[in-house]
Formats: sequence, C-alpha cells, structure tokens
Amino acid sequence: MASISDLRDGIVANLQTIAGLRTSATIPDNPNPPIAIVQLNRVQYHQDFQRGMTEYNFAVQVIVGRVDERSAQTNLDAFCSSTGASSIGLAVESNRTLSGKAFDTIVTEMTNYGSVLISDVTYLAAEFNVRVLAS
Amino acid sequence: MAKQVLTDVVVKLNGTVISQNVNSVEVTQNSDAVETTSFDASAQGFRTYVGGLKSASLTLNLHNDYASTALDGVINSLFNTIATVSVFPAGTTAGGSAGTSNPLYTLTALVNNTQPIAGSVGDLAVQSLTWQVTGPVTRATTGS
Repeated sequence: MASISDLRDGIVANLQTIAGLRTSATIPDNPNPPIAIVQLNRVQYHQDFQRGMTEYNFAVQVIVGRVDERSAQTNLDAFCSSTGASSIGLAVESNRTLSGKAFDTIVTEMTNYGSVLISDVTYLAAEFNVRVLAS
Repeated sequence: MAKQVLTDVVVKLNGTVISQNVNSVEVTQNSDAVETTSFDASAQGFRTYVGGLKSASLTLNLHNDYASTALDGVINSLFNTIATVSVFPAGTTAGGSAGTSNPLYTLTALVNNTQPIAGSVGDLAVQSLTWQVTGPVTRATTGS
C-alpha cells in the first residue's frame, strides 16, 4: 500500500527526467521557473472491495516564467506537447508504476494554460491532471 | 450493524480471494411464476401463481490484472468450465468467516463468457461478466 507521499515522490522523480525542470510539492512564494508543482487534487476511495484500489488525482502545475517573457510561451508549448524531451505527459508516464508504488499512472489532460498570479508577479503556467491508481 | 455499506465484500473464485480486483458483485435468484388462475372466487378476479423452476446468475465487474498468475489468466483458464464462487458481505483481505450477520453465499457457475479486453484509450482495463449459476445458491451462517 502506497502513501500519498510515495506517489507524489514518484511523480516528481518522473518529472525530473526533464532536463532543467525544477519540482516542488508546495507552491513557493517566489517560484524559480521553470518549475513543476505537484499537488493532490482528489482521492476516490473504495474503487474495489477490501480497499483493493484507490484512485488519486494529482494536479501538476508547470510555471515557465513571467507572462511577458517572449520565450515563456515557447517553453510552455514544449511542456504541453505529447512528444519531445520536455513533454510533461511523456515524463510522468515514463515510469507508470512509480517504481512499484502504483498500479498505473496516466496524464489525462492539460488545462488552465494561461497566466497565474503569485506574490504579485504574473507567470505563464499550465496544469496537468495526473490519474494514479494504487492500493 | 443493521444496515451496511458494501466495502469489504469477499469474493472467492475456486477458493482464491479475488476481492481486491472486484468492483461490484451481484448474486441474483429468480423463480418462474407458474400461473394457477382459475374460476375460484376467493381470488377475487386476480390471477394466481405458484413458484416454478428456479434459476440464478452471478454478475462480476472486475478490474483486470494481466500479470503472471493474476486475474486475467485465472478467468481465461476457467472459460467454459464450472467454477465455485463464494461471496461474503464482509470479511478480511485474507477471506472471511460466515456468521449470522455475515452469511456465506456459495454457488457453482458456468463460466460461459469472459471479456479479457474492454475499454477505450485511457480507460481502466475491466471485465464485466455475467455467469449462469448451475444448481442451487446456498446460504450458510458458518464456514469460510
């Protein structure tokens, strides 16, 4: 049985396969982009009898830089791509069992491509929904 | 516990506990309604019936596991054979023991359908199976 920390650590480890991408489990006061923040969004218990499976949904928010930086959108596009060395989807699914902690892991969608305000600075960011099936 | 939410149902297939891959289970019993309507005035114009032949079925919704010796292989090897299935409303991961408030339902079923692959891209691998029960469904308050 995996703990939520185990699952988050597994997602972080997969994200770290993207060169230059920082990771964090909490929203930093002053993010140093590009950074991926892994947060638990939803837990659905009792997917099988005897607690055989629980479904966890994580939100991975990727912040690439201040919204007025010319390169920010290009960088974010690369993270949102379904292929390529910077693809968040490919990276998160590079080890789908999260080193044996989960049954399976899949990135289902990217949403909220746009600006996000953190500590009075407007950044460009996107959010990825990660579905993890574990016991 | 007068009423209960089903969370710890134990399902055994040929003695092996498969509960942790089972999303839902239904054991259904039916009997034929054989009509006995007559001119008997005591029925006050209503049709009358007696129970006839009985039948039962088992429906399982499973989360598939293709690993070696896991659920998919077990189900596949049982195709077109008779399997013994035991169901408790509550138990433990290792199984369960029947009691007055945890009856053991036992049946033998013809595994006449399997569904090794079902789903679209991104879906969980599942099997939705309904098997015809052969013979009676027994209810016991002892046993494991």
